[in-house]
Amino acid sequence: MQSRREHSYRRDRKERGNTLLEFGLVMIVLVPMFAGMFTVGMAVNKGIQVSNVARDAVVLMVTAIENPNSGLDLSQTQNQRIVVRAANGLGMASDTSYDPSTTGLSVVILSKVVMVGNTECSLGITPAPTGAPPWNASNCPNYGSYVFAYRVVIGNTTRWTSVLGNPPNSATITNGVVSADDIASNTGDRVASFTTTIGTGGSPFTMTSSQYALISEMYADVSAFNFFRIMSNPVIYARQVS
Amino acid sequence: MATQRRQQSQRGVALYFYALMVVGSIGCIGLAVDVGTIYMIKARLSAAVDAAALAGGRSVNFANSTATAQTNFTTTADNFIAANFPTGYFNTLSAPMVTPTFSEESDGNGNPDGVLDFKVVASVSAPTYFMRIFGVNSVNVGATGTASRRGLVLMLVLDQSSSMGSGAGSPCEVMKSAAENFMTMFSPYDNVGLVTFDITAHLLDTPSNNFTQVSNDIAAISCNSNTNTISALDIAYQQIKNKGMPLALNTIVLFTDGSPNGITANFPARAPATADTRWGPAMSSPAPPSQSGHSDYDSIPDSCSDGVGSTDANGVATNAACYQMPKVCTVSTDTLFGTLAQWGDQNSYGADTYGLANPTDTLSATIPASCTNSSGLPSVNIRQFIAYIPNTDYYGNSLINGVAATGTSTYGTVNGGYDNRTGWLFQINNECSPVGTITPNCRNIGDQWSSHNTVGLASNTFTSGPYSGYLRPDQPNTIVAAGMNGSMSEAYRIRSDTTYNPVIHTIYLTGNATDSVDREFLAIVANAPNILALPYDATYTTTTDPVLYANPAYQTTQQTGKYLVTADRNALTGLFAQLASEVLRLSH
Repeated sequence: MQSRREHSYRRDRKERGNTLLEFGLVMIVLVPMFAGMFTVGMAVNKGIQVSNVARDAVVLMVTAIENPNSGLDLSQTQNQRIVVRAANGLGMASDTSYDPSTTGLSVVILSKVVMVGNTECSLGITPAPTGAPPWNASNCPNYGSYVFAYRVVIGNTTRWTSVLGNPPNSATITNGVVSADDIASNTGDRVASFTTTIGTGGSPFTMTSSQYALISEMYADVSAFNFFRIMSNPVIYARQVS
Repeated sequence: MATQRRQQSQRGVALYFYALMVVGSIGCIGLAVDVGTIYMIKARLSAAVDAAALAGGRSVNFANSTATAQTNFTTTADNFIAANFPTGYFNTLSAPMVTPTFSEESDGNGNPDGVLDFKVVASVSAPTYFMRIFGVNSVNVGATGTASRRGLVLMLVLDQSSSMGSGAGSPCEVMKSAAENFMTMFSPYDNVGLVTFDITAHLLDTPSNNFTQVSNDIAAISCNSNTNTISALDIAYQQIKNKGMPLALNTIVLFTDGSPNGITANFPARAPATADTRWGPAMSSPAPPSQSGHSDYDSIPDSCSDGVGSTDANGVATNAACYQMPKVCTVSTDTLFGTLAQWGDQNSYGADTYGLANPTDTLSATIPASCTNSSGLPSVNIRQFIAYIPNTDYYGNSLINGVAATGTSTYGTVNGGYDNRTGWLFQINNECSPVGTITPNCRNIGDQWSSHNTVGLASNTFTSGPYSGYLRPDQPNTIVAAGMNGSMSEAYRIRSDTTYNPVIHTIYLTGNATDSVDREFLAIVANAPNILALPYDATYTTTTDPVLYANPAYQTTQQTGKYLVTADRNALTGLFAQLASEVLRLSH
């Protein structure tokens, strides 16, 4: 027993420090790995959340736009809180009341883009000039163009802009709704390169006359979870076209 | 030594364990990565199919045949899938396979109930990274999106009365062009029918998707005669019920340019047993002047020459109501059926009130044999035959009470719980628009008859005699009052149908002819929440249509409709388009 104890003692002494060394060596690999896993995991999690918020926002838009009598006006702070709560943890709220912060870490941009056709011209150019309808580009300047019909921005209004651009300052926008007059006549309200911006895989996104698309975009800054700067640009972007 | 050997033999076991653990860990991590990827793809795909179903459902509106509807739906679904699910998203192996389908729901008997269902099924091959070790190279991920859309049964009810005019640029022609443009905005799954009305209401098209036929029928309209709004609304309602789509958006769009002036009822015969014993003189002498240009009927001479009341500066009596009439029927229990109209070319107090008209093309006016001169209808002076206007019309509407109301009204006796025109005198009280560009700039906006005691008998009801309290058949003004009461009552009755839940929208073109305009009437017919200023109200501007007050007859339990008003006939195309957006949710 004595000899074994001595042997163990000798061996322990000989190997003393190895555990620490091994631990250190393992940690060099493991810590960045766990940090990376955490960062990627959080990014994936936030990515899913951002995508879901964009999707939820589009559903709200469908209600707000397709049923004007619903009273769901997304330009009102009280209704914007629905979006802010859905984006919980993405740095959108300014306080505990869930009011959106204009300097926060994320933004939701809601747009409606319509291909101006018979209905929009009839609504926007009134009284109708002699000979109209039918409408064409000469009696209805935006006829056949993609134009903004709605825009509401919830959250940080200055840091990010929509990939579609913005309706012009000259357009009259009431509660997010661009006036019928601007839709039909204001050429500055057109969405530049709409078909290629929304289109994917090289095929342009086209709509027929009077058809519209509801587009919800969300940007979120997730740099708080970006350990070791794994992501070069820690901003998540998601878009839902409905 | 044994212990030492054993320790030696155990040397390296940790390595085996570690190796095993690594294999296990990699398996777990691999599963997490693969399942995570599939989950991401599935989430995006299901967002994409939802968007595609919603957008595809909308796209059906823009088709003109069921074939193009199918094409539109497929194209739109594909487009929206592509916009939301980029090809190659998360290294998916191909573009999603999309199968869009849509169908009409049907009731228990197999008939369409008015709902269209849209379904988009998409699938895509997701790659695997670790599972391929076990021979699974890809996983098929699928998602289904559904949406439904209420179909539309819309009855277009168009006023073709004479005040709409005729010829190029007339309100009649502009209305036709706006309505034809309106007809281009529907989908093949919508049903649109057409009713036009003058003194008779005509069902031209039952609700169907044959929009070309409806357009052709609109183009063939020629405007003349009176305004039998009540019968037209009732035909529209019957057609909605006949179509039998309780889940569709059942809609009536009423366009008119003036007050209704026809009422349909079983009128009590004017016979000796109950007749007023007073007699009047010849009814057409002297011939009454045209109404145009009169701001107040105090200046109209006594068309009855009955000598009642004071005389004007020319020595002509101004109290010219002809309630003293001959009785020409013999059986007091008999009734005369048909539409009693205000007619044109008459003054407000009695002369030239003609006969009864057919309410609709399938309902004929009838007069019993007990009334003499029965062969002369409808050209004879009907006040000789009719004792009084009954309180309830042929359709069951109240001609005297109008509709239940609370609050304030310019017109009615809301204090009595009703909004009606029973105390109203039309074609009086000339007001001019604050906006100089309104043509014509001035119109009679009417007033309480009690404020004009010197005009006629100052009442729409008999104030004495056996018919006391009943509406008078001999005054055209009363027929307008009864027509407005009946129309508001008819709209209320239609909207109280909780099976079809009809909604009524109205478009009002003011300023035509001499008919007085009423700022409440079409708001009440539409059940709009607010009464808007007319062009002749002081607060009106061309850019705003200020709310004057809340609709006193607004029914919170009934469908709310849109009430659109303009004095500019060229704005009609835009107003019809607004209604199209409202019913089709195209845009707003």
